[in-house]
Amino acid sequence: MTIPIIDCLTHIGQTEDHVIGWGPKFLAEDLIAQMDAPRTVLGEANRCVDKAVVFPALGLTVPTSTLSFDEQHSYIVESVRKYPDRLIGGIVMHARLWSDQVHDSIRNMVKNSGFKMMYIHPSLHKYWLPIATPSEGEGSKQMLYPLFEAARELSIPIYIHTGDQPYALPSTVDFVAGEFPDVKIIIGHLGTQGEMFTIEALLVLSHHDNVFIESSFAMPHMLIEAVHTVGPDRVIFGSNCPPLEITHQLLNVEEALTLDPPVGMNLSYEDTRKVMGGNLAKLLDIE
Amino acid sequence: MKYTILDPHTHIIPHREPVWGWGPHFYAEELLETLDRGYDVMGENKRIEKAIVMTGIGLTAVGHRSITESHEYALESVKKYPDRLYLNPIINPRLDLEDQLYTIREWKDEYQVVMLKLHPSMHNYYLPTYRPYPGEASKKMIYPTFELCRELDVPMMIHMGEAPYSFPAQIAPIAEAFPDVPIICAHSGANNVPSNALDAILLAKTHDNVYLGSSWVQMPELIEMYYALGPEKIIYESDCSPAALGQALRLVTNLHLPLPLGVGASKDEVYRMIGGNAAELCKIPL
Repeated sequence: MTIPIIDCLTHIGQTEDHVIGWGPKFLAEDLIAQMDAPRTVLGEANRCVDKAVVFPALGLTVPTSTLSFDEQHSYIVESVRKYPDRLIGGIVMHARLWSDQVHDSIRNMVKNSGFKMMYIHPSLHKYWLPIATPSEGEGSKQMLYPLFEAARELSIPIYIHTGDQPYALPSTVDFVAGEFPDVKIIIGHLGTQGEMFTIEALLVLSHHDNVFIESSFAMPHMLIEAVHTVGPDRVIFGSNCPPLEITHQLLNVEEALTLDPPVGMNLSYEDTRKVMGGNLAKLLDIE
Repeated sequence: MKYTILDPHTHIIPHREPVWGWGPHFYAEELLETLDRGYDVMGENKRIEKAIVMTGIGLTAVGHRSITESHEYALESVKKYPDRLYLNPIINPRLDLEDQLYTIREWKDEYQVVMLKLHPSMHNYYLPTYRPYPGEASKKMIYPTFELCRELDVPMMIHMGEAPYSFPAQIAPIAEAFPDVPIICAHSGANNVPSNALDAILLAKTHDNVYLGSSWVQMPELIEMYYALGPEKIIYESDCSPAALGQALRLVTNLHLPLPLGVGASKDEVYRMIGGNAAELCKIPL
């Protein structure tokens, strides 16, 4: 059986994104061209990326956006409908927009439109994840617990962006991971954006079996540390394309995991394929 | 323009090195095999023709080892592969500085010394500051190393990337004291704190003699670097080992891609960044 390559994190948009700064646009067709770009992966020439979880451009989802939740996701719905074999829908949930109506929309997207993941971005949307201090923690619970309950109801994982101070420290995932042990959580970017918090992220994984970690932006030696710490079954390939390029991010994973030490860690191709897609296929229940 | 690739930042070591996790070894032959592996560079299969090698950094961190001892394997390797490898000796200015400078002077031609390296984090010192403490003591350690760069007509590479000794802005005073010595800000300061690269960009924009190394840099900051400084000041480097070379090279060659993945840099611009700039600074014939 061939293990698919699945990209956990991609974005598309029909217009410039003035918040994150991506431009001029990145259409579903641009993404698919990148998925199909010529590349050799684990010795296999012309290896395309089989599927990608695709999210809206993040700038559409900020508090000052004039778009409704449904409008933020309309291009994703359309694209997943157009390319059902290649694209998997991803929901960017700005927690401050949560309502019963949004909850209904999400139910419908998951049940009828091929959506399989929810993404939250504490840094961009400006809130603490639930923490012990009541002044921040209680408000955060009120705002975020309904999202986690919805993820539980729909059996979809929640991807959490991490790697920035002060709201997106991976260690702050620890509390909510313990509160919702039956919800799968993916810590984004190996805890690396403006700063590198991979070791803290791995501490959270070592406490909680329901937590996984995604590889975009990863420093190569930290990918090695991740697999040495939690094994190959909880590390998940993501490219964050755009702005990153899929081939570059796949190469980052392949070199770090499969080359001889000290550059890599000599992981088997079989285990590396789990990282590149097998683990996510299992998590998303993709055959 | 010659479409030749030069990697100005690599390390080789014949045994484990616990200070900075290299092991079990990274021989010159492993580096050469890595350079020759074949990489997709803007649609062409290319190898890296030449590399500048450093010793394992941990070897230079202790006082009981002379510079000749800490560089023994690197020296031997440059001698063995003179067409491929060049030497960047690492100076620990807290050790016998006079002996190190004398030795490097002696090595210059025989071992193809094309650059010098400082590592403030590994060797625990502040670069010269504007304030007298610790600036004056630092000047006594660091100025002679820059005077040697001037004398040998080679650039200085300075490791950057973590608190408290290696923030890119800390290069400013020494860059101003030696405006005729080119400085390569290794990793653009991004190896532990990716956003440090933004400070490095400001540094290079305000100091003509500062160039930025690309290892460990993330794509958004590299794109910013291109628009802020142009391709003349960006220098591809892999830091292999321990970093993997293919991904480090692809990061820079991806500038060839159109927005939003790259900037649409021309082939000549890309080759300037992955070879031309470093070759020019280090006077390596390509």
